[in-house]
Amino acid sequence: MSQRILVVDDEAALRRNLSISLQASGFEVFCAKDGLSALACFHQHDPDLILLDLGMPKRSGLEVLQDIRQTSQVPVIVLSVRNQERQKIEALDAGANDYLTKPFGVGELHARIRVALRNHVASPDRMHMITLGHLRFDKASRQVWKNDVRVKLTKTEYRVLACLLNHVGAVVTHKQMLSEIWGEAYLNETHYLQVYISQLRHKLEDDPACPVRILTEPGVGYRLT
Amino acid sequence: MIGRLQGSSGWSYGLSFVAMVALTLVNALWVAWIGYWSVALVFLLGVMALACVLPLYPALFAAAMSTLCWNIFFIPPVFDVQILDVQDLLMCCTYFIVALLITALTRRIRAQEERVLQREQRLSSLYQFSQRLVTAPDQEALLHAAKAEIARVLAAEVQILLPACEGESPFESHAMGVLGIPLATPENVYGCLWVCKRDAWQHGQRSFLEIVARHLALALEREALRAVAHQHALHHLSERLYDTLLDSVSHELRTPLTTIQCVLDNLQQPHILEHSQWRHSLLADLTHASLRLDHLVANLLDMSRLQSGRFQLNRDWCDPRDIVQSVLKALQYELKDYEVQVKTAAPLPLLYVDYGLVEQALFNVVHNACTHNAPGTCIVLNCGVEAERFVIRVEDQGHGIPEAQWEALFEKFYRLPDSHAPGTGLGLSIAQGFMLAHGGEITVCNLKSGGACFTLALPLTPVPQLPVEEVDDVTAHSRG
Repeated sequence: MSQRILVVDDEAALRRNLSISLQASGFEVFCAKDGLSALACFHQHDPDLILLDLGMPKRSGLEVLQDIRQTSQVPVIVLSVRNQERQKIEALDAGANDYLTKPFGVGELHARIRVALRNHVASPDRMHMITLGHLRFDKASRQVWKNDVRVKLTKTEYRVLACLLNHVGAVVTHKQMLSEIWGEAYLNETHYLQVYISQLRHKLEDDPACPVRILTEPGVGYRLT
Repeated sequence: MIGRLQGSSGWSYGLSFVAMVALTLVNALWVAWIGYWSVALVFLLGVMALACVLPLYPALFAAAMSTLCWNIFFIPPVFDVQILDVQDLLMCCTYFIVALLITALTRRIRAQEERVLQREQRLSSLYQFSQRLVTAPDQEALLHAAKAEIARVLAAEVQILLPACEGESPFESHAMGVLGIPLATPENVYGCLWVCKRDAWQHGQRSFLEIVARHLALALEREALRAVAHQHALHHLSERLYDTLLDSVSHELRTPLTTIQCVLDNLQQPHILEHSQWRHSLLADLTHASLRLDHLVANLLDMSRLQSGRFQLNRDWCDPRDIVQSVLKALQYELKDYEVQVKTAAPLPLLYVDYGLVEQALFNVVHNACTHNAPGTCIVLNCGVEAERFVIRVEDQGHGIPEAQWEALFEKFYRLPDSHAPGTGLGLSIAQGFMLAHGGEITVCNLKSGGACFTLALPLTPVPQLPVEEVDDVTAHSRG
């Protein structure tokens, strides 16, 4: 049975385009044009993933997300436009799995959908060995190899990395990382992250100035790919 | 002194009386030596002196009293009004007439002197007044100066009503000493000057007020004309800006829209659609057009954000290398035909800035570098720290920018006169706005090799201390 995706956006042309593109990739697609019908559609069809626009009439994307999260952990990817940074981060902290900024490419959309579905099906907590390009991670023994050579990490470096490893491919917000690693009192100390991410890049990336594995999501957080 | 003595007449009469008594006593002392005729000259001196300082009637009183005192106490028979000698009688009568005449004449000279003084005061205050009117920077200052000056000169309450309020007095109706004078020039009436004086109007004060009102009216007319001229200039400027905006934005919007329209029409032709090479190049054009529209919309939004003056910096710590990388990623399509070099002087400090704004500023500068330079040339991004500031230099291999244009380059809608590259002239203006908002700056210069070099500089913020960390390798230990 094909996987079901719910597309929620108030722009008809975008709904149609996304729907065509996703159907062509073998998904079953449902569309909703506002927050209320989105909730109805969600309860009726129980989709495997939701694409949710943040700026909608009647009920905002954030409210819809909060309603959904009360009962379900279904992957949600929010769609936002530039200058909506705050809503975007709020949505991620409220439980959205990832985000895309309009205008976005369809290729990027498909990649994000694949990551979200994979992370949801095979909960990464249960996967001990993760391989990303020439990097290999063993979460059980907390070891990291680069080109089959073991890389030595400090305690905090490993905790930062572990945070990203739990959500491979998806964005992890500054707030999520800071509260998980240092605690709720450190939510504004984003420079901690900058420093440790920079150290991790020096140890793991081929060219730390031009990272391809540990990516920065400007103003939002980081993504391990 | 004079004014005070004129102030109370009872006091003046008292002074006359006391002075005459004193003179009589003094004369009584030396009458034996100088003789009773010379005494009259001493009295006459006293009367003259009093006439200089006292009003007319107290002075006349002094003259009469001195005659009486001379007659009674000095002309024989002493202590008697009667005068027996004809010569003495003639002297006494002559003395009385001379004393009266001297008093009257002295008073007249005094009065004339006072008038001259007053006139001079009025002239000098008029002069000061017109000077203050000329130097007043705006209408409010003008009215304030006028009120203060009139109140000072006339010791009165002053109100200026603009525009003229149909003869309504701002003071209690029918109050004594209220005077309203229209502020009128031959062409226009600008308002009304109301003056409320507690004491009586003096000679010349009304004419002074009329002259002042005329001056004020002329100054108000000047202000009104200046306001009109200013409005006109503003209007002209905004019209010009609007035209430029409309021209450049409509051109910039229409060009990619035309491309999109053409590509879509072409793609509907089956024989074009089947030709894979054509199809690919058409689709590439479509991508380019949509990127260009996105860039334009971003610039317009940024400009309106800057113009509104309400945008807030959303500062957070960020790695400058991330900013450079995300700009290069966002511009990868435009930069694909250029050789891009990023040179960083390690280690780079963390910046405490609004990531999005700094990114957009750098984006605009790098975007300019690729639209204004031929494909195949090299664009260098040089990052480092200079003089306590983080600096990114964007260098190209073009022909540079004439020094005369350096300043104008950052003005809104400014485009280099010989520029053929597309654009609205907003990019650098926005970049400058965003850098200034951070307390930084953007400057331009030419390289020795001929290309242009844009320098973005941001002040550094000291990075707070990190918690101390154990340096050992944790992966060998068991889980905590």
